[in-house]
Amino acid sequence: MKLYADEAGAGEVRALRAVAVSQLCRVEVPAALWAKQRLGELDVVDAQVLTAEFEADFHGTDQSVPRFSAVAASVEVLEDAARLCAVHGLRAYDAVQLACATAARAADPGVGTVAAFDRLLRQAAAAEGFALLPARLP
Amino acid sequence: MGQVTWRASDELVERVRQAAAARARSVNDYVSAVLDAATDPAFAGDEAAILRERLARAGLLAPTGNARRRPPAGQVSRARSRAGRGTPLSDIVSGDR
Repeated sequence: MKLYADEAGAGEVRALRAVAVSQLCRVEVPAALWAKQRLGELDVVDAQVLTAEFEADFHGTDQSVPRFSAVAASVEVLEDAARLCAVHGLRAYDAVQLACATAARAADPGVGTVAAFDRLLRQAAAAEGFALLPARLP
Repeated sequence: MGQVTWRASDELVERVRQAAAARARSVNDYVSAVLDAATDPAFAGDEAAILRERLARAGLLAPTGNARRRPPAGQVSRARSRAGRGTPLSDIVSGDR
């Protein structure tokens, strides 16, 4: 989300060279942008622009590959998410996010950091052995 | 414009066909783009490409849709600045979950 708003922590997230995301973010990011628009905090044109920017990042453009590597919410990932709910008391979507990170790490040992701003998700990610971005919440 | 005859397993050819179709690109265009990326020194050691490849090998890389058009950078910059005011987007996502 920090890629699409100049919020605290945005600089650290934008500096990442390789980003794996859950496939669910295809829906979550536009949903959040349009929710902000409905709150009266973002006008329609800005929501459209930021959604288009996100979609270019997610799907790629004719000139560039996707910015993100989207991790599929496979049967195995969802099974692991269910386990993480039990172990860490996570909410469903948070558990899927963490399960995607765990699956990505299994495929690529270079994946070692979870960018998250929710305290419970951060605690769970740390317990699963991930470094956190940002290292501390503001 | 050069032309190359390529021999590969039926299974690989079918995967390439499907990958090209999923991106609404011709096989020729898709293969050219992949080979260009594979041989362009600018992409050598690219962390994102390595991550994508490893996820794909593990069967974890989610397919994406058709290529999109990126909006002008100036518009994006101004929209990001305005989106930085008020409720943080990460709080909205967290609330939705």
